[in-house]
Amino acid sequence: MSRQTSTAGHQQAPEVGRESRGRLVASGVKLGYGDVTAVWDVDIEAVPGRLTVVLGRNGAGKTTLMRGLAGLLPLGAGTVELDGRSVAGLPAWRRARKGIGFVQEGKRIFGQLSVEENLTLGLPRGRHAQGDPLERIYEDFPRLTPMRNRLAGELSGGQQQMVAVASALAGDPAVLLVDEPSSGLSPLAFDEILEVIVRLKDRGVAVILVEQLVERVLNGVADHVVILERGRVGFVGPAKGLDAHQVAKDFLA
Amino acid sequence: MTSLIARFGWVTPVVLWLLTLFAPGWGFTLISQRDIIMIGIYCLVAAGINLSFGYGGELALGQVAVMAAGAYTSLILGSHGHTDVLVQIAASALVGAVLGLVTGLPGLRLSKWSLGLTSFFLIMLLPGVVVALRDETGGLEGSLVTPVTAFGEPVLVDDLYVLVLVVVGLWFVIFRNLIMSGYGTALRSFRANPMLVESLGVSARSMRLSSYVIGAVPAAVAGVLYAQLAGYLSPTPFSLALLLSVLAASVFGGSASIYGPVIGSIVLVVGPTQIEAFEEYSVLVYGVFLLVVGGLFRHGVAGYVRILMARITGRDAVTPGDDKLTPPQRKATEMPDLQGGSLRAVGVSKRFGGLQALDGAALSADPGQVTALIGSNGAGKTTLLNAISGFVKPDAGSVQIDGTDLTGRSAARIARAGVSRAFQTPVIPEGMSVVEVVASGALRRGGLVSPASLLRLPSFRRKRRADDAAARGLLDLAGLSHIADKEASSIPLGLRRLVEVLRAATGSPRVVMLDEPAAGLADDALADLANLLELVKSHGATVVLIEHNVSFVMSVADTVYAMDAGRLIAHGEPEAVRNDPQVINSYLGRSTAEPEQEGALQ
Amino acid sequence: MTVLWAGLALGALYATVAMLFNIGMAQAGVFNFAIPQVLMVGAFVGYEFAGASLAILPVVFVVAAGAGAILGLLIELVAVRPAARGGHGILITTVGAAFVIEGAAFIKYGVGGHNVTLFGWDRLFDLLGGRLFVVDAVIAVVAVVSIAGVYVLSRRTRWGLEGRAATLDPESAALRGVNVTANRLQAFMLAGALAAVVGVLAAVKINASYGLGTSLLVYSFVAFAVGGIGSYPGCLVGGVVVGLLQAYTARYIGAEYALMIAFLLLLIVLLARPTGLLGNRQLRIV
Repeated sequence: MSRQTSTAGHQQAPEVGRESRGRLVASGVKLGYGDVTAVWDVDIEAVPGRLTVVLGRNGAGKTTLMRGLAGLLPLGAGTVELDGRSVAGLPAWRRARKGIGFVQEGKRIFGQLSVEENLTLGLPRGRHAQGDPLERIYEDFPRLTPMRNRLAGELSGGQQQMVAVASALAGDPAVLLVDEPSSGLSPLAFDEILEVIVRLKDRGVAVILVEQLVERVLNGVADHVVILERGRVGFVGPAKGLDAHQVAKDFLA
Repeated sequence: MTSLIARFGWVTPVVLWLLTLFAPGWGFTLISQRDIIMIGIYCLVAAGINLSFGYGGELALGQVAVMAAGAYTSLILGSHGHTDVLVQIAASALVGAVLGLVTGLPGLRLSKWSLGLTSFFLIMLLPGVVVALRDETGGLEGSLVTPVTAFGEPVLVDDLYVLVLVVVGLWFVIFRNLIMSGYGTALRSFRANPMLVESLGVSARSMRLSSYVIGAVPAAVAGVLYAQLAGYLSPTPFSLALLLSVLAASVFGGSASIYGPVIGSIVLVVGPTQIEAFEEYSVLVYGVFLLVVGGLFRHGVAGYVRILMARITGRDAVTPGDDKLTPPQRKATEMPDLQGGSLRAVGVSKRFGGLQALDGAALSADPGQVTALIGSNGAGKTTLLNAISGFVKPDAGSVQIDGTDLTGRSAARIARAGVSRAFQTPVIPEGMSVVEVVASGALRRGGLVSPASLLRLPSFRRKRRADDAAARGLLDLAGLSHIADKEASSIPLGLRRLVEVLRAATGSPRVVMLDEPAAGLADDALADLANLLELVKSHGATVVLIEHNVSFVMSVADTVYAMDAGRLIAHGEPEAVRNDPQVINSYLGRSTAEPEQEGALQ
Repeated sequence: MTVLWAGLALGALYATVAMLFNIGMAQAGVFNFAIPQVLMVGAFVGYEFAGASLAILPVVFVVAAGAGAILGLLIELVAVRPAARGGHGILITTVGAAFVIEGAAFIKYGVGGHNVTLFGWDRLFDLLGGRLFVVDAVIAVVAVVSIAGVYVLSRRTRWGLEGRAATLDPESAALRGVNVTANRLQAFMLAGALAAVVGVLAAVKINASYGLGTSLLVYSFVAFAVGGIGSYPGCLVGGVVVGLLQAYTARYIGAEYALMIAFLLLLIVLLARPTGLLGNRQLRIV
């Protein structure tokens, strides 16, 4: 497949109760570690109400790209803009406060803090009323309610991943970046996480999801697909009509 | 070129030592004999710091108190008529070792700071102890030191010079040989992660303790020599300022190096003596020194020299193009001994607080087979692996390898019995090349330190060569021979996984246990891993594998065990297990209603 | 009774220093070897104001707190931040920082100990049959109040939560909007300010000398280890234990043995219960 670009807005998000914010546009992004460049000249967008899936083999630069967008890596070249304003010079904590949430690969939560503390950490600053915002989270993640005072490290893998996603959501992010949520999870637990993410997208969050399980995400989950190959974009376009097997063969085999 | 440097790197220090020994005889007086003796004394104390801190990662701040203990031991012995220097050195060494033990033992379950502060205490205690034993020590005012004798003859200044150089020379030979033997490898592995060294069959406790004890010995011996040099002994010289300057000598020269202390000691002994009124500013200057060196100049002089040498000889960091695997270059005739044993784990149970992590779980693995363990997270797979390998003690059940019961033994003991394990997050020590890391698996066979290794006898060299060749053979088969001599801590994740697996396959393991080796691997790397496992299995190895990647498991496993909630729910041939309804319900969920695999591997 | 008060007074001092160590450990993951030296600097601030009356009490403490906060800032910037990546290097730099401060004090103030009178607090008074200094009572109050305050700060505020999270996993904390560097810096400055304030009191109680920091270091470390790493109430417990031990040993056995007994206590605690009496079992950072 040759490089294709398509801007067909196939699924308008019902932006219920949400300001029109959260468009993250990155272009010409170059990222690396020391003198090793892992991402060359990548364009990618997070659009409200759209779930963009990033595919590619390991080493293609998917995680590097996510980390760069989240602000954990300095930008070697290119621009990253949130709602038209550049965020490229901002460190991760600034970007987080501006509404860019990132769920890292590997269930990274604070094991020695309680579930409630983990979630509280995700809450935006200033609005210190602990009761209300947390209740909203527990509604979205009912399985966590009985565990609120347990140490996060004592939970099972699936529950920990829930905590990771929930705490990112506690900040009411406009943009959500998720890196391989399936990693280390049973398919059952992964399905649950995916459901939550899709629900979020339906609520108008701009989601970029990195995944290895091609078939799982191409069937009815992804709206838009970006495939990375050795740090560059090999394919970008709508997910509709993509043959998972073909994609796997061409780009991942 | 590179092997020449490796083989004959010892020539330069020996030549320098000889020159120093004979220099005064030739009228060479750039640095006074007294200063050289002082440098030698510093070298001993700093070298001790290098061992426990530079290589072992634990900072012992009490070296100066140990030195004082050695000095006072010599004083007391001398005043009672035992003036033979060998006796005094031996006694002081013993005292030093005991002190090292006393300060090290309590902090074993803690790390980093506890040793530092506990040993620092010793320096604060020194005046009080000296006063309390004032009859023997002469109290705070001090007392004259009886000159030592060697072979019945008194040791004069010129003889002291030779004595100090001989002692220092001997110590550095021991130190160097220790670091370059299995002990050094184990110490570096310990520094990287205590669990790693346990999985290599060496107890972390013994690594810690031994590094404190061995590190304290030269300091105590230095005390004896110092007492002779000064002729008069009181607690005053064994001050914080001295501690700081010795610490600075170690760090400046390069803590994680063998000869760094020499460089550091020269600078720190000669430097201050050239500056007037140094005394008053000494503490401040040393403090600044430590600040600067600790933060910015981390590797010390010796470290930077080594980095430079590595650049020149090409043994440096891995570059991006290196992650492509190279095809095997030689026939698999040098395959290490992989013949495995049989593993039987039965009825294993373990409870953590309110969670029953394992509930009568069982696993059997036989030679020449890959046995996979699958199950959802929280099913207890890693806990079972930990229970078998000794990182967790089971509450009930038994674990046997070839009929030998290993239940509840320590991780190091089980590793020595032939159970190797690769960790989910690869642990690669610093300062070692890839082939050295792979070869470190041989530690599981035992023989950490022996007279042969200390003396570098031919038997030791032969073993070393054999281990090296075996490691290179494995690397070659895995297509990694092009990075064999590169700095191991610089390799990317995918290769780290393979190196972890290779290390687990070294050392004639009877059971090789791998914890999610496929996670995070690219597809061609997955294929290479599968091939490696095939190869290893075909040589009779017993491989146990935890994996989530279902298709990978199906392609490599001969037997599959499925777990759920700490229990075994199915086992047998891969296809049968995959289609078992219980397994499907608990683990595979609805996405295996289709026959397609997860991931893109066929 | 006087011995009891003496022990408690010392204990309060050690408890406060132990708390300062705890701030560094729990909020920043660093054992700040140099904090007793900041206390010593506070003592010299007291010395410079020697003879002052109660009226300018706030000034003295504000100056001390300011000096301490600045020192805390400098320590973080120069000793902790550059070495944070290196892992083991931080052991060296914090020791270096401690002795830079001590060395500077030695150059400026010389070897002797200077007695300090402030606010008339070196007066003795009677309490329940025993005598103690006014400053001892003040130290005790300061100890309890500050430990309670820091405990609440750490456990019940967002700032404390963020600091604890940042210590556990700085990257994840950053992704939650926590400015890890600022948090750590603030923790160091807080500890520095508190240290210097206590230093003023220590100057009155003991004296102002360049070695004050080092002499407090060892006893306070024992208090820290006994009470428990990661536990603020534990600092109080540990301080009291060590203080009483020192006072009673000095009174009934001999002053020079106090240190040895403290050392034995340290060894016993580390052997029997490494994380201390009330310490967090999982926080095995020290």
